[in-house]
Amino acid sequence: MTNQELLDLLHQGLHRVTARTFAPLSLQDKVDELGVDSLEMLELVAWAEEQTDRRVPDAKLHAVATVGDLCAVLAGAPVRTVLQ
Amino acid sequence: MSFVWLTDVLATYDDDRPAHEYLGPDGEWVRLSRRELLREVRVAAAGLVGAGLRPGDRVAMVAGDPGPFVGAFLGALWAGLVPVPVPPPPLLGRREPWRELLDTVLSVARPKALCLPAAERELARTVGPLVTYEELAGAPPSEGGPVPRGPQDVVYLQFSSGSTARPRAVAARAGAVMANGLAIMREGVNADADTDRGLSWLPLHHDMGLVGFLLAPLAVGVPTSFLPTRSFVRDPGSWMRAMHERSATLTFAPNFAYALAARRSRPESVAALDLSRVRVAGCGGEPINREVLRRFTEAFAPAGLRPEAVLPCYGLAESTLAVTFPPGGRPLTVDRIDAEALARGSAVPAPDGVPDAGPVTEVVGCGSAFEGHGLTIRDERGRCLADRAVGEVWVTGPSVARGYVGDPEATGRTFGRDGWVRTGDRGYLVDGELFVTGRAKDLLIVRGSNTDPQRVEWLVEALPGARLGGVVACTRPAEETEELVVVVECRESAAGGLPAQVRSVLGEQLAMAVHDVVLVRPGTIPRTTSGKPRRQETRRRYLEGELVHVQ
Repeated sequence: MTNQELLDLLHQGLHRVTARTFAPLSLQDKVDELGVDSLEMLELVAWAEEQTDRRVPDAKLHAVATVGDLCAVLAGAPVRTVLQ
Repeated sequence: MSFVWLTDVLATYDDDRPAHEYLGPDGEWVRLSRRELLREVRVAAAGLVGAGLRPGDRVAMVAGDPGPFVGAFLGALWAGLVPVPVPPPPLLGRREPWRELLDTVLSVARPKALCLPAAERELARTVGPLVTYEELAGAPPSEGGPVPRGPQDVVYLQFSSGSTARPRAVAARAGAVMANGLAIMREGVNADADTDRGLSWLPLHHDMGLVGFLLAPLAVGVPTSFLPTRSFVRDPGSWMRAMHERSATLTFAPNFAYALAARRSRPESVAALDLSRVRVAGCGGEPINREVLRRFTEAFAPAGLRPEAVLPCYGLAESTLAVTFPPGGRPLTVDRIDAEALARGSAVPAPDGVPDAGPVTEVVGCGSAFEGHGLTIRDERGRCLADRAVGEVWVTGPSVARGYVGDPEATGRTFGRDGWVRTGDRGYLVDGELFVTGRAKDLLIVRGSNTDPQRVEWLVEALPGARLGGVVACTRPAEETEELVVVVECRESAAGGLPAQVRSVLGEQLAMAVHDVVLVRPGTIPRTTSGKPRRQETRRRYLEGELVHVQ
């Protein structure tokens, strides 16, 4: 997926998870400043994982500070095999 | 009879019966027999001593993944050290508030070293010796027995997870920990080491996780399965799935987790589970909402979960963990009382079947104090109150601590010389059963009426557009009395009609007038690391004009 596709997906996910509207995302946006709390943020990650059939390892999430970081870990995540 | 401490029990772990199992990142469970657990403990003890730590030294330990933490914590107890569990970094974002909290915690505990996973080494900016769990695991096991401890010895420090600005560390004594652990397992849940299994995702730096699922089960030999907290947070369904998979019988969590588990449950997933073995799904640690427990038991009833498995309990770190438990196997006790009388400090039963009898509040019963422990309700001057009179909950008995570390002022306010602890919680007694109504310091006092903010918040967060867990009720000073302010996190689209609905529901249900409804964006209300809204800090920001209103 391209960065733009991932940005669109996360934008859609924010709306799905929070039922609020958000301005379009950019790679530079800081995740702490999106106006979502930590639980919603993890719901967003879970939703994006489901849509892309991927699973981001927990250790990779530690380094995420921007939306760009989140796109990168999603793009690089292994395809889900177990769980559920 | 001589005192038996947990490490004395551990020293008898020389067989192949199951002890612990940890869910790994690959979804597989790593199982440890009693013998293997004891070996891990001896290895960690040797590693800690090898790092230069000596009996009585404090060692902070980041309580992230249960596997490495549990071995290291028990190893520290084995070596006679005083471990201090500290919270792990958040999974994603918000690093700076965590670093600040860690700095504060370490400045209170003043440990000789900080233990953490190698991967988190760079995250902590602490000066002082760092020891990684990986380094500890590489030592040859300690050959000797555990360092003997007496009942009065301080064996670890437990930071309270309260919503106060400055975290306080309770000095946990060996005698109190054993007394509480045994009371929980024998009297509270009537545990049987041969047939029961505990299961927990609770953070191990909190008393409910640490005492409830590590120390208490160990005292009586009940095997336990541990999920990392993040497994539950990333996927709340993992909790009940794991209960099913591991045939677990005992679990515990705060109110909010039951709400989350019910909200995210899907009928088709629930139908595939068998939860008929669950004997105890305990709930405590924050005010208990009857409606939440009802939703939870309804959601999981198709999996065979029995409603009487849900046990609302009361406790606090200042009394090690638990104070009251209801008798097992009985349905929830729900007291329906007159909301207006409650505001005047009296829990008067609401008349049944009388229309227009006035607003009613439901309070969940948390059972009675353990044998050998005392619980009274007192007024501001410390005088004991009669049944159904609302006041502060005071507790005493072998489980209570003696004070906080390095905070004589707070110790003096909370711990009496006569062994009674002022809990800061409000409630009332009916025939020895405790009903908790809220926190004393957050109490809303308006025109002489006392209302617990949680009652206001539960009503408001149920309104369409308001955010569950995103409401704070507080007061602002006014000329004649305090006035009620409600801060609500909400969707912008709902902002228009919400203030009128807030006023209407609080007028109807609690007979309260609202002076200001402040609508803010989700994420605005400050929270503790465990996600509880910080009421006093929200109030301060409101009074200082720092809250940004939704347009």
